[in-house]
Amino acid sequence: MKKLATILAILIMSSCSEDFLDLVPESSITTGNFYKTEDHFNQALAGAYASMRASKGSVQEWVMAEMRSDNTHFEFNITNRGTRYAEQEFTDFFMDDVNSSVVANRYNSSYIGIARINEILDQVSDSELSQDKIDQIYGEASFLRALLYFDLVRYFGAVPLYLTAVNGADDAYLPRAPVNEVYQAIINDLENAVNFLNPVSFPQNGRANEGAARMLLADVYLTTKEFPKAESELSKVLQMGYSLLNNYEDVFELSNKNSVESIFEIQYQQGNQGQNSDFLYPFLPLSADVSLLTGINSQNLQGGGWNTPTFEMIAAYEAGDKRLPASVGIVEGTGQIGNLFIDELKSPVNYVPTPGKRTYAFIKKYQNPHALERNTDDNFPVYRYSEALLSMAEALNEQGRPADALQYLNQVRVRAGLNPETTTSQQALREIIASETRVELAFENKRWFDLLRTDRAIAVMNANGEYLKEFYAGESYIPEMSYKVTAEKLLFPIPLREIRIGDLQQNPGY
Amino acid sequence: MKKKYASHFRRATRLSVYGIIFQLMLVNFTIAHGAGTQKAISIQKVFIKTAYSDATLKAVFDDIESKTDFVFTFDIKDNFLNERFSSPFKRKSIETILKEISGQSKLAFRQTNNNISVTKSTRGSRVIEVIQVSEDIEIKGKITSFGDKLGLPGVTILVKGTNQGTVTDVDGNFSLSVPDENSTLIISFLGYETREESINGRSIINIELSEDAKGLDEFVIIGYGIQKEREVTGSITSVEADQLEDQPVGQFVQKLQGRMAGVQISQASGTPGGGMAVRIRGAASINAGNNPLYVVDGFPIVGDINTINPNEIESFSVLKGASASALYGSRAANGVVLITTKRAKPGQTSVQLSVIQGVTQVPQRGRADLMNAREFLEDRKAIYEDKIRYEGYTGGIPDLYQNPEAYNGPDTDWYDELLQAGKQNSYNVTLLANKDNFSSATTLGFFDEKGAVINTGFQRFSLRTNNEYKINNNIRVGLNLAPTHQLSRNQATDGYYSILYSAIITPPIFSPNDVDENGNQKVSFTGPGLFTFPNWKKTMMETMDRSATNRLLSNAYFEADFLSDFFFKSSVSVDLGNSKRRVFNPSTAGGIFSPPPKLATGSYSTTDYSSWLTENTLNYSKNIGNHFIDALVGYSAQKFHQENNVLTGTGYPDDEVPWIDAAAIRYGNSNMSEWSLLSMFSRLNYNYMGKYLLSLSVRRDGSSRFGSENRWGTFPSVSAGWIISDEGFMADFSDLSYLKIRGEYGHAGNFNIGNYSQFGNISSTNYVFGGALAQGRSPVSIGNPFLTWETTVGIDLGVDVGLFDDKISLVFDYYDKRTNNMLYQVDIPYGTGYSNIQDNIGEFHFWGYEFGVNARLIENSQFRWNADFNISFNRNKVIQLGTNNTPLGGLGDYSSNIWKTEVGKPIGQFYGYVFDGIYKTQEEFDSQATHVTSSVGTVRYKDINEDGVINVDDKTYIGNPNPKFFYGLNNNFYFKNFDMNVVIAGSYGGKMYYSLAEWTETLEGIFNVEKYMKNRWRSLDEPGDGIIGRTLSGTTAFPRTNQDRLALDGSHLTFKNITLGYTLPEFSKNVSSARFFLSLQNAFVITSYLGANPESSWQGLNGLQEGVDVSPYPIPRTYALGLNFNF
Repeated sequence: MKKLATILAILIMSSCSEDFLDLVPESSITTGNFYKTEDHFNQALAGAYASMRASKGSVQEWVMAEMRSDNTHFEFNITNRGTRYAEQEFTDFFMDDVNSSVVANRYNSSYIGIARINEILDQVSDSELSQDKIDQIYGEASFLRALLYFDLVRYFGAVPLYLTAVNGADDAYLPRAPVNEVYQAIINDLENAVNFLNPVSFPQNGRANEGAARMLLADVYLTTKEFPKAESELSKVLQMGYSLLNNYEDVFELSNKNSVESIFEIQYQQGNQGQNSDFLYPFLPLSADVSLLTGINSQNLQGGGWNTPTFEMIAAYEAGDKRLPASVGIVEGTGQIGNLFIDELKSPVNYVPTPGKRTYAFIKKYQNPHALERNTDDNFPVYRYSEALLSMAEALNEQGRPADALQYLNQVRVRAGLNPETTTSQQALREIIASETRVELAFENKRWFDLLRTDRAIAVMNANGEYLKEFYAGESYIPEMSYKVTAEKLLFPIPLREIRIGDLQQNPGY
Repeated sequence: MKKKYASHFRRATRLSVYGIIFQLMLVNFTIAHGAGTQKAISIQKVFIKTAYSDATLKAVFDDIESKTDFVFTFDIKDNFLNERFSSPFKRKSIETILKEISGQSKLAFRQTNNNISVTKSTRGSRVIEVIQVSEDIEIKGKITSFGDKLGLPGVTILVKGTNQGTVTDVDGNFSLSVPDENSTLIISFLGYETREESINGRSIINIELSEDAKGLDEFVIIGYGIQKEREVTGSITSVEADQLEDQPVGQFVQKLQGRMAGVQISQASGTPGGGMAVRIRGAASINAGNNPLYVVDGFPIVGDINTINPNEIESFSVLKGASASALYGSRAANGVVLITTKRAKPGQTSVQLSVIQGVTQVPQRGRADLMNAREFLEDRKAIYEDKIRYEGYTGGIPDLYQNPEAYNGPDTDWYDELLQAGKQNSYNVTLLANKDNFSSATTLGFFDEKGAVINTGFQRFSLRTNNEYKINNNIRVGLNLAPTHQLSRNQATDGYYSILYSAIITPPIFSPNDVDENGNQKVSFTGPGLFTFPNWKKTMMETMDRSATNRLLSNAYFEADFLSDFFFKSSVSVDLGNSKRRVFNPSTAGGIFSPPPKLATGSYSTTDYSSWLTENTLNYSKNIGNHFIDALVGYSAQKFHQENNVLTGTGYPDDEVPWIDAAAIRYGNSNMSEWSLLSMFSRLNYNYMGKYLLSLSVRRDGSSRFGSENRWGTFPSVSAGWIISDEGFMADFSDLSYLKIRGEYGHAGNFNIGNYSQFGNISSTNYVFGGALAQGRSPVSIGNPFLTWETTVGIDLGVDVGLFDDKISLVFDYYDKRTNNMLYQVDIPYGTGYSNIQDNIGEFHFWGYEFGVNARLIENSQFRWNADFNISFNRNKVIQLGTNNTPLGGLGDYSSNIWKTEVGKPIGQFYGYVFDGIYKTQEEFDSQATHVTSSVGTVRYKDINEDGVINVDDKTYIGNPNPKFFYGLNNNFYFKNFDMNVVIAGSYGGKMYYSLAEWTETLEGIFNVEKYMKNRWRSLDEPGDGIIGRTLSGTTAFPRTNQDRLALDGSHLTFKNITLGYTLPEFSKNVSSARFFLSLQNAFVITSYLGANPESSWQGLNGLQEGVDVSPYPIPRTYALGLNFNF
């Protein structure tokens, strides 16, 4: 008995080692062994950039920033009444509710990026990297965080301000920080970014640089109506070597990704590495054959018909504006909504509908060659040099210097094939700049923010609602209660989940 | 139901020491040899030359037997064999020798023919008696088992009132001389009833023995051993598999439905080879699952249990109670199912052949009743009329809908199009041999199911061979091997928006055989204002989803009995599995939201895993006077390793080559995961006089899955019982043959949180800089080094009762358990960048009652009827949730997210609006609370919070999917050679959400809909039936949100199986038994529930998300013909 007990004890002791229980995932890396080397930080930073695709480069972004505005609408598809469709339509209709997954995804995806950045910023200062490297990482991460918070504060107003990484439930619950605190955090981040980021050099590679940070900062100051500060930042941007390409149409060519006109854009690459974009397809009509538009054997029976330019938008282009044919295409065909048989691609310039045909207007800016269905190469622009020029014009005009503003405005107009403006009336110029901004940056997810910034959202969107209801009267799908745009609708609701779990206050009106 | 183990204690090889002990305790009579049949000579006349010098009586008897034809029989309990005897060398008559022995050892001898029976002499007279049986009668016969008709070897046959008798040979045959034709035979065999049979002049006596239903001799399998049922103090239910063999099903779990109290089993889907859900005593966990632990021959298995051929299984034991399961420590919280596979019985050699052939068919009951073509067209027309009338629609009524009366096109039942007559064939051959030192049981099986849905099916090839070799009387080694090969063809038939869910709503005006202008079969259909529907039949036929799974379950052991009271066992078990799955979705196949044509996609995935366990146990068991002690210590280590590879391909140029090679774009993923578990465990079972029972156990587990700060846990348990009926004061209650009360307390854990959860995980998040790929990595979860198992602490109080000589036995159990430290993905604000963090928090409280009765209602030689019934009541309540007690769920609009779990309430209830008709008049609309989209004629829900507005705040609890109770009833009838078995299972009081209505009640006019949809509100004058609202744009989404109207009563009573069997009279020496049977599986369902399957549940029996019927793979009715042959 004793002998056996001894044998048993040996058996137990010999294999009973803690090593047996210490298993770490071999095929993946964990937070415990990450953030150690320069490579790790480069990877983490790439991950932070990648998060932009799900937030700023997402479906939700064009739904909330473009389709909600007067630039675009959608093709009502009676045959699909799924929640996802309805929620996107409701954003256009100003009928979002607290359950909207569109709004929730936009909110959540921003914070996913912010969490990645917070982790980098927390870890990099304790790292053993060279100071140069730390500065660069610090600068880029700060820029990206500012970009994300800038969207959040404009969409939702006061939002919880997470500026350090969350390690557990104890530090997970933050209240909504007042709007001015959020702006202050954005400005702090951008001031850091401006200091630490590399100056602009060409060719650009898609990383944030000083130019991007100053452009963003200027945008922030325009939004907060601190025009002198905006002017100061923009004046530096204008001296960094950016310039307009000769042809507006060329700006969206694949060969001009990250060109001299580009200040910041979200990077994509077609192919099989999962880096492709696909935002062209939702903009195309629902059709079993869209090869005429894509140039390849392709169909678009899922999720098309969105973000369609309204005819009011098409009319907003002045006669002779080269930007119209570069930005909008018209498709004619037959068949019902849900499956258009595409006959012809037409120019929107002086377009007259062909009797007996269905007409579908689509965003043409991102219609570029690609090899595989739903696998496109286009980047999505965030800031272009023309915006810097228009912002400069706006900043100067708002400071009562319309004459100074003209030169910047006219650079943009002339490139578009239009005559220079000469008016020096501040009010008239304000309208002109707004209109110019609308068409220059059309379909780049700017319009809703521009309407907000210039305090015209309520008036413009109520008018837009009336226009749409009349235009589509015979099709009877725009609900009576839609487009009732009040001040409360200028903010989106905080997602219900966050209200419940985070015990947050809801925006009024929801 | 009870398990009768003693008859073949050898099966439980690990505890064969028990077998030996109990054999000695229970076998009263030992027959030295088969008695001779020739006419005997009197002992006075037989002389031998012999000498004995201090020989034992055993040696003396052996000597006499070896030199004469005489055979001694005696009662081993009399215990005289070791007495010594001496006698000088001399020629003596046997009588003389026996007289000498008699004088010395006070024994009495009685000669009957060649048989000399030995008894203790009580009186001085006639110690030697010789009965000259001139008219000795030769009889012979065969003893078979009632259950499987196999010959029973080793059965004792005694002539009543004598010690004369014999034992059966390996085939169950015997022959015997009896003193007269009115003698009575006593036939007894361990674990079987003891029968008395009058000879009545017969010379051939064939007898079937039933397994003994009485409590005395029954054993149950418990964790790491077996125990006499009588002495069990934990709550355990067991079932013997041979009771289940006639059911034509592919999975053993299906056979257990309705059989065991406290074990809820649902067939949530009829998918071949899948769809079963098991939940023991209402177990639920937020994240760690509630599947029980399955232990096959002592090996806790990790992978799929459905690869096990049901015919390999001999018995099931379900450990339900807190202490019964506690020995499995950190994996025991959801209960433990112990599965024992077949062993050969001692002396048994037989070949068993079983064939079942069946056809399957989907019953009509419960299919959705949608509009036919004409109704559909009329309905569309009405929708357009309303559009024109109310919404200023100017497009006119499409031509297709203008004249429904004249329609003469297809009228397709899309559901029916996807069904076929299925088949189910099962073949099993079992070879059993237990001779000399070697025992072997081999089962070879083939199961083939052609699904009731087109292009689905399942096949399993299986082999199991269990072998044991006795090196000597004390040492045994064994090797069990069970390879299986399984093939399945599946389609997306289950879950939300599955093909079956979606196909139903396809308009009947389309036919799968429709062709396009080029004469090709159409791949999709659409019409004015209609959704675009794939050609489901084409999709089903052309989509490929094939899986192949190989598995090897193996187990090798060494066991030794030593020092008479000790038993040691060392084993190594290995479970190896790999599966591959190949999917190809051609361009012609699609889903409801992705109609074809579209780009073909494909994937090829493989999974390889290995799980090994090494285990050493040491037992000590001893009777010391009235004390019985059984102690166990053990140690085990288990490790699981899995590798997954997935290749996906898109950009196929065409549908010609379905392999990934043909894809233009290919993605690959490859990863691995592991876990390990170290355990030490110990148990002490003690009883005093067999009636005061006590059991103590403790297990210590260390797991790699838990945080470095909280790696080891201890799981103690204690249980006790008292057999009151054994007390003297109970002697007056003679009808009460057995009464035991028992109680238990124990801790058990649940470790199913996935691997590496304690770490914050980092995922690949690549990006592009300057046109070049940049490797990116980002955290996707927050780690928690304090993570540990969830603990369930429970008590159980039980009573076991036997009445009327155990003709009726009753079991009652009450349990109460609390699960705390729940492994919980605590929802945290998304502002953190994560939706949740893994933590141990939260508490559920479970309690319930179980009652079982087993009765031998009628027993006579012509007709027998026995029945058992069980019923279980499970209740639960949420005590604590995440950090702020934030409720789980309750946020969604549709049934995919209908559940809400909140503190103070039962787990996982339906949450939604309360239906209150429609606003039939303008006045109703103006005076009542409305939703933002409401209008006259639209749905009205109740304004629960009475604030005058209908919105999310008016949602409330609209039903509990958990039944108030569930039950099973099982009846067996035997009449002459016929037998009949009826298995009923059901539940009462649970709600089922009829999710299909979210689509079959759409008002947009894009789908085909229920027939009653035409009774919708059309105008103030035509308000319809007050249930369905109008089709006005912008108002049609709200009527589809979760509402009590669709939370239907799921109570049901299902005739799971009806079998009628006939056993052929013996017709050949080569066939020991032959039986035919007809079996009807899923015979019929009695329910008021609208859908086909009241057991349907999208998420199975997972506790938090039960009872949503998403129209899964239908459960076919199977008509089967079977036959069993034993050779």
